[in-house]
Amino acid sequence: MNRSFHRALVAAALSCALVACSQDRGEAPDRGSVTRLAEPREAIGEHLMLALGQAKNFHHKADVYLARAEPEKAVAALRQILAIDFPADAPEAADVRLDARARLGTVLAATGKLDEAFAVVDEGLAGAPRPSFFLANLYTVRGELHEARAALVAESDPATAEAEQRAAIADYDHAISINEKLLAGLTGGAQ
Amino acid sequence: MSRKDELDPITPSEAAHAESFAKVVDRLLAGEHLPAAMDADDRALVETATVVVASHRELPLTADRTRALVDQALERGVLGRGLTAPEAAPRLAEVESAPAPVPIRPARRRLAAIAPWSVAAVCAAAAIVLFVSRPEPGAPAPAAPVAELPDELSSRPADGLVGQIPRAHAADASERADIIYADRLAGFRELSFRSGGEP
Repeated sequence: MNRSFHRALVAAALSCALVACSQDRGEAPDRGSVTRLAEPREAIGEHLMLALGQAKNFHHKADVYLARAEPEKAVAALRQILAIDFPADAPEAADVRLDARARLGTVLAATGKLDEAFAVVDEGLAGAPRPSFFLANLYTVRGELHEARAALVAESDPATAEAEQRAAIADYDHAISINEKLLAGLTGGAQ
Repeated sequence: MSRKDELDPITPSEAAHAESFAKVVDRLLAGEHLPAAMDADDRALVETATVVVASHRELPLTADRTRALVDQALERGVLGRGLTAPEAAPRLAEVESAPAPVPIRPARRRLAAIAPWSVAAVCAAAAIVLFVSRPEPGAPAPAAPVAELPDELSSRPADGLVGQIPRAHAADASERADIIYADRLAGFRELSFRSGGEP
């Protein structure tokens, strides 16, 4: 009787283990929702709208400050655009920030702060995630900065002026190249 | 024997015969066998007398005699020994074909003996069913249908909206920010309307 009972217990334990293994194997994958958004495009959400709204407001502040001949405050407002919290991987974030850098570099150059302008623009060019019209525009702005520097040293340092002018041309060519590729992609053929 | 004979005095020979007859009856009741040489009439009288005596009083039997009588009765009743051949044959067949006696076990002990095996059998059956019915491991789940959002409702690059930026408008980021915001606001409102007011 005891031996039979022990054998039965072992058989029951092995059967339970097999049941557990059957459950572990082949578990149905999580199907998630029936429909899902195509990646990487996400729906326009509240977070994105808030960020775009902030950027718009800071730009308008800068407009007012510039109209009031207060470029330092305009620069401060434009710098705040670079600190806005956009949704992660939102394509609009890169576009808005590049555009803000382009305007900030222009305002800084207008106030005689070329080095600071170059720093803002170079930082934007280094961190650009993809080719875009905004990136091409930033190259255009850097080309203008090189032109401005060339004009400043043209009489005192012609060589530097020469180099700056060549750098400007390179940047313009870079901008042209980006624009042409983007236009080809949008129109579906080479122009 | 006539009535006149019954009234006559008993002769010595009749007394001797009666005494010997009584001794034979006593010896028979004691378990002894009848004498081999005996008149048929006398043998019948002795057996009749034995029956009469047994019907009037309880006959004490020795243990050996009792055992012998029981064995003899069983042999005659079960095995058919002492019977004629036709009478013995069916009884032998019945005994030889009878099923082996089944020991009578308490119901509780029987239940305790089979319970563990019953549980094991149920678990094994459940394991087999689950194992057979499990989905194919590694088999890719059917792809969920993807709902492609229209452009106007999705977060996307602003290149298509803004287009190529002329050099003369390189610093007009404020206007482009207004355009982008207005465009995305329209999509956001549409999404809110479709979801019943919930973004």
